[in-house]
Amino acid sequence: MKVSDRLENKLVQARRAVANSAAQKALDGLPFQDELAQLERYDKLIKLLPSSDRRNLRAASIIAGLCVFFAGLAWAWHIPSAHVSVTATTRVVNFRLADPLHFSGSWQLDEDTGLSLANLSELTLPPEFTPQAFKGGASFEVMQGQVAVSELRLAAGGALTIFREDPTLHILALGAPLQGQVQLFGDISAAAGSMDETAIPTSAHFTNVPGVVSFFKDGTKYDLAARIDLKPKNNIVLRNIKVDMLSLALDESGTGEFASGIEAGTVTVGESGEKVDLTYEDQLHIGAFTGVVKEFLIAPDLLRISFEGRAPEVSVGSAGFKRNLVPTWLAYFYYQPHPSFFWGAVVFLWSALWSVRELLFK
Amino acid sequence: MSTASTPILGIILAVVVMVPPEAIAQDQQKCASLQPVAGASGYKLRPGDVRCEGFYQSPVSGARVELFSLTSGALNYDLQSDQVLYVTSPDVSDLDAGKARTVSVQARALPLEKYYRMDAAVFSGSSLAWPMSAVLTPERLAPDAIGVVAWVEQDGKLIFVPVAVSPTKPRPVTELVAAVFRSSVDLNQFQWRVRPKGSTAQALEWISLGASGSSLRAGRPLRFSFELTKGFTVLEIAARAVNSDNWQTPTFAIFRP
Repeated sequence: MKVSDRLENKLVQARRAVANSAAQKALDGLPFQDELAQLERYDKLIKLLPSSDRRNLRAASIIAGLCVFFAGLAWAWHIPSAHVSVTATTRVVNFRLADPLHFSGSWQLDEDTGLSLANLSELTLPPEFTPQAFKGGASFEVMQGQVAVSELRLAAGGALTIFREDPTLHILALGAPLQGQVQLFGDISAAAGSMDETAIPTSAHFTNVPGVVSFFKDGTKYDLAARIDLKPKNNIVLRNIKVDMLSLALDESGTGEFASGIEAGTVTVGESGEKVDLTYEDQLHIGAFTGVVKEFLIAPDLLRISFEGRAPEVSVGSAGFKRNLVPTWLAYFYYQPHPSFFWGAVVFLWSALWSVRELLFK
Repeated sequence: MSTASTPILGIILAVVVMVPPEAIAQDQQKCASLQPVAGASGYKLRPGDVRCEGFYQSPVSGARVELFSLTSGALNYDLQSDQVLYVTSPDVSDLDAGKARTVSVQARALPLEKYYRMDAAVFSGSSLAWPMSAVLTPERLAPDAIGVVAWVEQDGKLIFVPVAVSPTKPRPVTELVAAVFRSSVDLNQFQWRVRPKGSTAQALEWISLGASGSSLRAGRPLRFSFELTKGFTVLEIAARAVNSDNWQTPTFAIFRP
């Protein structure tokens, strides 16, 4: 601290002591002209001292540093979670259900090896095939005939993976009970088996009423996923599926390396309005996603999904070149729909706090 | 008893006294998330044997064939003279389904756009007293206007258990089962068949309801009865709506001890 700074502080303190003494005398009804004269002298001396530019400069530097620090923090620090909206055509869709999923209808399949079911806990065939139910690792395959999936139910918590290997669509379900039903029409050639019974080819004819195959998988987490391989002839659309995990990639080799199934699409981040186009095999990572699959089209040669929700991690790009799409706080404030209102509120709060400070400490 | 434990016991006692009996009962029977209608007939927890009963606002539902009633014998009571219905469950302890060995019971009104429901749970092998004065008598819900189903859940699957519903006193279940289905759309075909699960007998023929060539109107009860053998039975339904190529083929697992 400079000598002039110390002198100024001493003068200010001495002036304050004299002012207190003068006030006390005034209250006691005593004369205080001497103190007034002393105060005037102090005021003149304080004015005559050289101004402390360096102190002002230092204070300004500290405030500027803090401003840069906070601005940098706001520039680098991402908001806790972003609203993300994705529309994509893909080879792979993988999600975990927050609510049960129920499909009911008639999903027509190809007549040539259109359906294969595997890893089921229980399988019941029409009595025209066999009255016996198959249990434990049960499987069923239609070699020839007209087939339709009429019902699929997967309980909440179940993970569903759907991936395309044209012309076959693979559905894997794990983690929650899965129930389903398949209808058979006309002449059917099929084979069914289980861990205990070798699959035996058999055939039956369903004239007026379809034959019904019912299957069930208990969904134990440590078990193999129930597997449905099918060749769809028509489209189905699933809507408003609540999920708490979603990915458009698949670990096909089982080595932990996930391959992107994306063919094309767009990602839109709500807070920043940023829209990113996705191209073939772009890596889209959405960590800890919770939201809704608004529409999921499953067609013979196409999977198209449209979903939205919140996620703390949203990035595009391969490892090492990932681009974080979750906006920073700076971008968040910048892209707010009414920024003038926000800054007006900031100025108002600052003014209010400053007024309180003036009231209390002056 | 130490003096330190006395205030704790006092707090516990105060909490027990403050918790209303309805809350304890609700713990045993949770009412479904339905929007009840206003007034005394609204769907709510009822006193007596724990059950939720009443009318509710229409939910959105798809066009489908539903199982409305599966009872041991047909429902039969008199709205003028009878006071209480008894729902008797067979002993299903052989199923080993669930820790409490309770059977869920649900009653619904058959006419379309009449949204009445009663949900209860009855212990396996015992009876539930269902006072008619709460809703059935004031709302004139006759035996042909309601259906009752009961089930246990095993490994995430529903296994239906026909219960006996009788006035005056509990009645044991018998092998004769009355089934009632309802479709929310007009049908041009409704067929059914039952077979013991795992039976090696030849495949049974389908039995049709309604005259050939005429349609079955939406909301009309589709009634039939059959004899139930001991053990598991599979009830298969095949229904097709008018002007539709799609079949609805629900199947039901039924258990009789």
